[in-house]
Amino acid sequence: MFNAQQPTEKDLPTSTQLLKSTIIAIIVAIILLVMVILPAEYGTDPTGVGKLLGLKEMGDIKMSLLEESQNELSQENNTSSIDTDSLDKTMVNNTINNDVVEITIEPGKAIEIKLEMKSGSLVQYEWKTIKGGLNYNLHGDGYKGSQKFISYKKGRMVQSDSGELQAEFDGYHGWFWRNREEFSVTVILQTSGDYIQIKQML
Amino acid sequence: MKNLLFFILIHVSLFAHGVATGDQGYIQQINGINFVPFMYLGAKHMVTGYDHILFLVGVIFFLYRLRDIGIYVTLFAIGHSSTLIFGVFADIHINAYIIDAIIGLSVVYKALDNLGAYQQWFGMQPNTKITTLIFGLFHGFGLATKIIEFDMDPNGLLTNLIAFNVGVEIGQLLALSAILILISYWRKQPSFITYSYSTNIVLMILGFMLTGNQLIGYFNS
Repeated sequence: MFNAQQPTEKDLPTSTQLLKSTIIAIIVAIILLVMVILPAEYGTDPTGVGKLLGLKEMGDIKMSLLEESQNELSQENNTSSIDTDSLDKTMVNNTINNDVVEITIEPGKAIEIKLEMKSGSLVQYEWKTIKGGLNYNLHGDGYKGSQKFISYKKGRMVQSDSGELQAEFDGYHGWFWRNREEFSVTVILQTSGDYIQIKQML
Repeated sequence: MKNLLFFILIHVSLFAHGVATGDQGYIQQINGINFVPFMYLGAKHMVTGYDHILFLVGVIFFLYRLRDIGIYVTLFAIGHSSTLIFGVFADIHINAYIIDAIIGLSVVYKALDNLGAYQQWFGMQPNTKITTLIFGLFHGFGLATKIIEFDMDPNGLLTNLIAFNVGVEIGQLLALSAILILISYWRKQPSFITYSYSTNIVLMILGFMLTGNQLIGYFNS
């Protein structure tokens, strides 16, 4: 009834062979767990092999991303919501703003600078680093409770970028930069256009 | 240990300032050639991807000789390697739900094949080597779709893809070794033949479940 034969005795491994294979499998699993999985997932590297293979970096980055996302979530839960009604009144008169911000980012760290903007308003921007590249995500978040999120532009190891930012919705729109260089990177950001205020979020 | 468990339980796709966490977060933070890390990610994807594992269980269920296992697994590997590389480079966007639904059906197909259903229904046995190769192609498109979602940096993409693919093969060998050890214990018991019919039915159920789950995802998306 099957498309196969029953196994014959000579097709199958002996009990001793099987037991040996099982023990080898357990040893291989333990070695991989300690030398590969722990460094790559948790940045824990008791043997130093993970660092040699470049896997500890993976674990370190994962842990720092996780920590940041948890910090951000707890911040969101702690801060009281912005009263959007009162904001609407002040936003009737949007003003043209100009700002130049210079900020230094330590290796492995990230900062975020955002503009509070009304939906549809326009800003010209330009940023460049003095030396080195940055990973960035130009994105926007709605006011608390709105769940709105958009990513306008992303890049890796970029030294400069410029252009026009048009807010998709009311909220905070701006740059998340992370320094993956071995040294500190200084970034200079110029913004000019229709926004309410500029704010460092991180 | 408590911390480890805590981190495992956290859903992988927590987002902060538009930055993904976990594997995807890591991939989006790095730049250039990272051979061993991508090998690791390929192996991890294979070992933790139950759809590929279920298909492999189906393929080797009635293969007793290492030589035969080697031939079939190589055919599967040729299939998925070629569509993995091709799919990413041609940037082929097959809907992830559809391709995963087909992968679910490949498990169903293999379970029915093991049960001799095609001989009973159609009076013929489809070439098992060719079908393994063809389903390998579909599994590769599934892998390619996952990689496109990872949003890898174009810098060093080919080398990183090859590393990922090498990792997929290593992961497949690891998973296969574990499956073979377990199934060999079972094959030595008389219950292997007694329950091999119902086991392939269970395999088929799991395949249909995977397919159904993906189709629900498709119509909800």
